[in-house]
Formats: sequence, structure tokens, C-alpha cells
Amino acid sequence: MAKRTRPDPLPPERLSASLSTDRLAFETTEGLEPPETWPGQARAVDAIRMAATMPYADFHAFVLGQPGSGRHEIAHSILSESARKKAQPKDWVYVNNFEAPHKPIAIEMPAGTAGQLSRKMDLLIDDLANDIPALFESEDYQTRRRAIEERYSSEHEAEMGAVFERARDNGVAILRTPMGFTFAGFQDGEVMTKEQYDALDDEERAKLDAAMEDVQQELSDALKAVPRREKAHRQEVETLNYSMATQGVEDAIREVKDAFAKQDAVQAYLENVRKDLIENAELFLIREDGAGAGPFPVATSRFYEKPQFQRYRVNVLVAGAQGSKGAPVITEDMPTLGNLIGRIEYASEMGALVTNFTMIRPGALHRANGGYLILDIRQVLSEPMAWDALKRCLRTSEISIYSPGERLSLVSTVSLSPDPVPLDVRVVLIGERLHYYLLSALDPDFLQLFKLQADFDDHLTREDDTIPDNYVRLIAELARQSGTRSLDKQALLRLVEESTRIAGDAERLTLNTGGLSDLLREAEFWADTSGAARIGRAEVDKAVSERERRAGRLRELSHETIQHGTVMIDTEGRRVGQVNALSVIQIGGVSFGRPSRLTARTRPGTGKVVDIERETELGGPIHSKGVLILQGYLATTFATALPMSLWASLVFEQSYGGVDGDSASAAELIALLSDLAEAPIDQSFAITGSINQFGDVQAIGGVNEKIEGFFDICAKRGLTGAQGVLIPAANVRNLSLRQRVIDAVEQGRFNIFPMKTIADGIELLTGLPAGTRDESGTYPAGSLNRRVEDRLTAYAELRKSFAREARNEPS
Amino acid sequence: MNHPEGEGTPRSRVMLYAQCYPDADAAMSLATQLARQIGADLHGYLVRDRAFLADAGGTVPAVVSFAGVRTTGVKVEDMLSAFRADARRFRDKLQRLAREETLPAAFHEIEGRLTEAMQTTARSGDVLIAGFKPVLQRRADLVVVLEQGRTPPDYAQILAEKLQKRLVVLVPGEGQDDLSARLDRMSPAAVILAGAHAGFPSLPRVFEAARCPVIILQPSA
Repeated sequence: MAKRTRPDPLPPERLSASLSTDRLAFETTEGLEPPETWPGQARAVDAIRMAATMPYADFHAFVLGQPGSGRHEIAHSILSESARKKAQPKDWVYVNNFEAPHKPIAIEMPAGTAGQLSRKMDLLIDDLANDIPALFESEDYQTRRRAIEERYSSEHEAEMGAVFERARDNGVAILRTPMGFTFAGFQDGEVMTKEQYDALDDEERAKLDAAMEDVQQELSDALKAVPRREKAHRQEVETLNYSMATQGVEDAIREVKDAFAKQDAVQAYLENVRKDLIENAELFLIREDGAGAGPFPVATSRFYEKPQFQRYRVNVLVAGAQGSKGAPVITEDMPTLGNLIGRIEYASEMGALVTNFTMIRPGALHRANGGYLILDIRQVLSEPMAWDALKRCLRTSEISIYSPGERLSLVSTVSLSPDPVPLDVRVVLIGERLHYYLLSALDPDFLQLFKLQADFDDHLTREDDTIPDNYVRLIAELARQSGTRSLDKQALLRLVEESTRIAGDAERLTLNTGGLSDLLREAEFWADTSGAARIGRAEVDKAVSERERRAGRLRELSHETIQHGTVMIDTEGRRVGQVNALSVIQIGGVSFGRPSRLTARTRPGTGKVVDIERETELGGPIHSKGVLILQGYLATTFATALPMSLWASLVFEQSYGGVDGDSASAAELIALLSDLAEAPIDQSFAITGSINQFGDVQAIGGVNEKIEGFFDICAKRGLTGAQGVLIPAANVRNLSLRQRVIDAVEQGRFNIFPMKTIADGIELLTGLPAGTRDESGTYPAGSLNRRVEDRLTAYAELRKSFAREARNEPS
Repeated sequence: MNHPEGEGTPRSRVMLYAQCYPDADAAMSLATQLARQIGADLHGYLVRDRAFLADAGGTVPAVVSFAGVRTTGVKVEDMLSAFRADARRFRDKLQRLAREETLPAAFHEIEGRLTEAMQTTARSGDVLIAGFKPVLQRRADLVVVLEQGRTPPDYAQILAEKLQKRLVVLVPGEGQDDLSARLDRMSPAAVILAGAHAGFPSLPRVFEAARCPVIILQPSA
């Protein structure tokens, strides 16, 4: 007689997290202190702290974890704390490169001084815009300039006068024509006619011709001397202008130089400014809008804003406030290429795009330089060229500004090549695990630059049935941050129960603070609706049930089809080769369980188990693997001395979508064994679990949803007390069932059985013991295994007899 | 062009004479200013002085350009073409300026000596301007030549302000040099011969010495 191994149903207390409120020494969460550290995230926190203080440039950090786990907040908090202890970074400005304007010069300045330089330069230009015109309008300058002009004019006029006088004295008339000067004889104060000229004797004519020749030469020489004299004149005026401008500029720029006496780079720049101002002093003499234009007196006009003075402006790229402390912590939510490395803007001028160094704009890397930069990796990767630019900057430790158009050679307008700015920043990328692992695998630069991984845990493991104090304080803090009213002890307990449900493990608490915060705020809504002074258990319950209700349309539709008999599911009676399997449907962030009818049919054959799902390409690879495993179990467990002479088919009835996963392999095996043994299966049960080749039942996912899915169908039809679900024993720790299930179990109207091996399921579902081989190697009589083996042996014999018949041998 | 011919009392006229377009151009703005200022009609005269010598082959032996380049063998026909081209440019610019200033204006071409042309075309009360392109553009003063005891005319003062020039008054017989010698050493922007001409040098001599536009106020009858 076979030994019975029917497992006992689980007691109600094992169906959800066992939580004690004994050590919760508070009435409400109102007075609770914030947690000392972030519960369960010590590993990630240490990694971020290391990144924050590590002196080496390439130890940037990647924070990986699920959304809602508080990655951004924790990273920002740690970095801010570290930033407060760091020195304030230097200011950076871009100034004009007077020798190569397309290559603006970057200057590093002590923190808080960039603005001063900018203001002083603006003031300098304003001063010069008033002083230089005054200098050039002064009587001193005008006198000196007139003296030069008169000297050169006198020289010219004297020369021209001499030519005309000699012409007159020698009887030569100088005539003006469109082609220049022509010459004729001059007689008695009148120009000679052709006839008078022809009437001259040879000697007189020769004399006149010679005189005309001389006058032509002298006039030609006098006129040709004009450009040379003009050039000399210009040079002398320029020298005068230069000396006047030097006098004005030297006086004005001295104050700026003195203010930045200890800054070599600024001194070098100011020296270039001084030279340029002197050489281009005429810029200050342009008065296109009139001296008295505008409502304000000229002295208060903003001359530095005029286009001709842009070259002397200071573009403050990054400036810290003077006297403030600490390094910056910058979070860039839109890390486009331009927002990361800075950009060069353009202005449209007469249809052309023009730019200059004042149109250079800083990026997040400039602003974070000397401190920390937090970026979301998904946003970085989704912005064209941003990831590449970020890596380049980190690799070279400098920020070079370029435009996407330039990079792709799409823009042919004149652009700038600003000096790169040295970079000293710690970048913290925040992403999901998938991002980290994909980048590790596909981008060789990634691990070279992001050497520290801060892996956020998804859950916190409880040591015993108490709720960790830090976790309680975390919930209290979440409530405070969310602006909800305080929670009483029962509400907190209920929230923690839900936390275990989200964690999918009765011994674990979720660290998805985002999800908990959402639930808290929903509970707050219901507390507000009901006018409760604080959030109690009822409000949390309401929040959970309303959330399920809101997402329940598909679940209800699915259950409705079962209730209506459209989808055939039995919850009572017995049938050979038919079992209730359980599946979880996940769609749009909602998951729910539902039963599916699984059937198996057998007959003699050549050892083939047909997985109809696979044959129709509706089964996924893991499902196929599960079927092959159960095939292996069958082949090595029964009639091992004979060829496998079975043909069997397995199918999820009325399943028209894809099926994957191996959580139904235990159900498939039992259905198959039921058909082989002709042992009917009790339809009051549903079963879930995967098996290995030894018949051990292994853990599966979604156990709570699966149980609740079958429970809800049974409940609708009326609980009989005989109904229940068989689950892998390994999944008992994951149980966090809804109260309605626990209540039914408590009342003996529903059962949940743990299975360690397939034998446990066989006994429960068929009422027959599974049976184990005795010393002689046979299964005990009356056991299900014996029946199966006998059937398979019979199939093998049948097959052998067919073989003999085929060979015409006697039986 | 608004033709200045009309019935009744003759309108005063500003007469701009030039032997080539550059000379006309140098005085065009001055003439327009004056015409507008005194409410006169504007007349332009291109005077073709054909006194230059030409050989039997029809070429002008030597020409010195305004830049000082000596050219030989310039054909008379080319010279006449240059006159025609200058006349066209002179007329066009005069018309354009007159249109802009809404001044009645007329353009004429005339053959002969410059001074003769002035004498034959001018009438009493006209303002005559002999155009002359100075070699140096940088000229500071507007010179008024006056008889002893006369004051500069109002329009001279206004013109000086408009042109942003200093107004310098010269009186013939003052100092040791005669007027033409003094003008020879100066670089005036323009010269105004105001009043009677009795003590003044001959006009060709003034033109030669001034080497800039000369304004002559024709005494009223």
C-alpha cells in the first residue's frame, strides 16, 4: 500500500507578512524624527559618498535602481552635503581675442570677481566714450591737427602756384578739359588761337613748345606728388591721434588694471585692450545717434551696449557670488548638447548669421565645474550627440563648445572656436539597471569613466516580525514631504503590509519610496474626503482597494467571461486529464491572476509530447523548456527499461494569445499523469509551480495574484471549503494576500497548499498517493505512479507487438 | 527738370559753369545750396573750350591728367567724346539734385572761353559759380573777397555754416601781396567775390590762383 503524502493547508497567519506593532512606541507619525540614513541603501549611499570625495578624475558614478527608489533625492542630498565642504569654484569669463577674434579667450578668475571685471570694463567704455571725443574736440588737438594740415596744404599750394606762375611768365595757358590739362600759348592776356600759333615763326614756336613741355613736366610732377604728400600727412595725423588716444586710454584703464593687479591673465587681457583701444580710438568718435539723443544725458548712456564696443565687453560665463561658500550641485533636466557643453548663439544681420564671443552661453558642465553634475542617463542618451559630448569632456577634462550643425558640417556660417575651459567635475548619472548593463556591454568608454556603481536596493529584508525603526521613520518622513496628515499605528502597519506586497516577499519591505508616497497621498485624499483627523487603516485600505478598482476593468472582464461560461473553468467535480492552471496577465502597470484550463491527452506512440502552444507558435521559449523538462521527468521516472512509447498532447484551452513561462509545468505534468493513470483531477483546485527533472516543485512569480485570481472565481460561484490553490512551498514566503482571501482561509472556506514535490500535488488533486519505488523497483499497487508505469509499459508492449507484426514474428 | 522759363519779373538765377564734369561736380552741392537759400533757378553750363592745340593729324600733342599722368597723341575726336560724356553726367546730376531740392533747373552746353561764356549768359542779379575741382579735398575756409568797408553778405555766412567752414574775409589792397598772390597760397574751399570788381584781379587770374569753386555775385542793374 502506498504511503500518503498529502500536505497540510497553510494557516492564515502564513498568508501574509507577520508584522508586530508591539515595538512601535508612538501613536501617530507626527512627532517621529526623520531617518538617520536611508534605510536599506547603505551600499548605494557609500558608493555615492565615495564618488563625492574621490580625488581621481575618472571615478564618476552611475546610480542604478528602479524609478521611485529615491535615487535623485538621495544622490542630490549626499552631493549637496559634500559640496558644502568644498571650496567655491573659480569664475570663468570669455573675452575677445584681438588678434584672432574667432578664438575667444577663456580666463579663470577668483570666485566672485568676474562680475566686477565686467562692470569695470563697461564703465571704462562709457568713460572713454565721453573722454575720447572730448580729447579730439579739444582746442589743443584741433590746433595741432590744423597745423599739420596747413603745412601740407601750403606745400602743395605753393608748388601748384609756382607751376601756374611759371606758365604765365612763359606765355603758356593751362586749359582744363574732361581728360585733364591741355596747354596753349598765351598772348596779350588771351589764349592763342590755332591760327595765332601757326603764325608764329619757327623760333617763337620752338620757344613756346619748349615752355609748354616744361610746364607739362612741372604740372605732372606737382600732381604726382599729391598722393605721397597725402600719405605723409595721414601718417602724421595718425601719430597725433595715437598720442591723443594713448593719453586718454592710459588714464582710464589704469583703474581697471589696479583692481586686478594680481591676476596675470586679466593683466595680459587688459594690456591687449589698451593697445586695441588706442589703435581704434576712432570707434569712440562715431556719433550716429547724435550727442543728445535719448531721454538721458549723454554721460549716462550705455555706450558699452553699442555694436562697435562689443569687442571690449566681458562675457561672464560662470560667476559665483562673492562671499558664498561651497561647490555647485547642478541637475540638468534637459541635457541637450547645448545645455551640456554650452552653445554659441547667432544673430541675424542683413540676412546673414553672425556671432561673437559675447554670444557664448554656458552649459551645465560650466555651471557644475568644480562641483557636481547630476544627469538622468535616459535623457542624456535620448539627446543627439549629448552622450558623446559628455564622454569627450570627461575624457579630456575640458569643455570645448561646438554646435551640432558644425559637427555634422551642415552649417557654413562663420563660427567661433572658443578656448576650451578646464573641467573638474564629478558627474553622477542616474538610470535603471538595464541602462547600466547595456552601456557596460556596448560602450567601451563607459566603465572607464563611470567606475563607481551605486546600486539601489529594491527592498529591505526584515530580521524578524518587527518593522525596522528607520523604515517607520522613513514613512513618517514621506508623509511629511508629501504634505499628508499623520498616520496612526494601524495605518502604518497597513502601509507596511502593502509594502511587503509590492516587494513580493513577506519578509521584505519595498524601498520604492515613490510608490509608497503615491499610496500615502491617495490615503490622504480619502482621509480628506471622509474628514478624518489622521490617516488610519481604513484610509490606506480604501486607497488600495480604489486603486485596484480603477485598474480592475480588464480583470472584471476576464472573470466575467469565466462566470458566463464563455471561458470554461470548472471549480468543482473531477475530470481526467484536465487541471486548472494559473496565469498572470500584466498590462499597463496592472497585473492580475486568472485560471486557465489545461488539458492533456495520451495514446501509444514513439515518445513524443506535443506542446500545442509551441506547435502553433503561441508558446514562448521558457514554456517550451518547461514542457521538455516534464518530458525528461516522464522518460526517466516511468518504464525506464522500455522505449518511451507515448504520444501526448498538451494545451491551454481557449488560449488565443501567447503563453510563456514555466509556472504551469507542474500542472501540465499532473494533467499528463492523470490522463495516463486515468485518475480524475479534482477541479476544486488550481495549481501553479514549475518542476525540474526530479519532480521537485520550484518557485514561480506572481503567486499572490494567481491565488487571488482563482479565489475570486470561486468566491463568485460560492466557496465550498473544498477549493484551494496549490503553490510551490518556496513561494510561501512571498505570500501577501488580500484580506478577503485570508478571511476565507480563516473561515475554512478556502485553502492554500504548499508543494515541495509533484507527489504532493498528485495526492491532493487525484486523491491517489503518488507512490515511490520499493526495493524491487516497482511502484506500490494503487499508487498513481504505478498506474502510469503500467500504462506506459502497456504502450511499450503494444508497440513491440506492432514491431513484431511488422516483421511477421510470432507474439 | 523744371524749366525756369516764365512770365513776369525774371527770377534770380544761380549759374554753374564748368569746363569738365569734375569741376562741375565739385561745385554742384554749393550751387544747389545757394539756389535753395536765395530761391533762385539753377542753371548748369558746360563750357567747351576748344583752344587746345591740335596738330595736322587731329591729335592733341600733350594732356596731363588730373592725377599727373602725361599722355600724348590724344585724338581730338576722343576729346570731344569726353566733352559729350561729361555733359551727360553734368546734366544728369544737375537734374537729380534739382529734383531732390524741387528747384527749377536747366542745363546748357556752350563753346568758347569760360569767362566769355559767363559774360554772355549772365544778367544782373545772377549768382555765378565757376566750378573747379581742387586737387586737395581738405580745404578749410570759405573766403569772401570784399571791397574795403563792406560787410560779408548774409548768404556767405549761412553757406559757411552749412558747409562747416570758417569764413575768411579778404580785402584787395590789404597787406603787401595782391589778392591773387594771397589766394595762391591759401587752400580755400570756395571763394566768393562780393561787390564791385574794380579792384579785383581778372577772373582768369582769380580762378588760377584760387584753384577751387569761385562764386561771383553779379551786381543788380
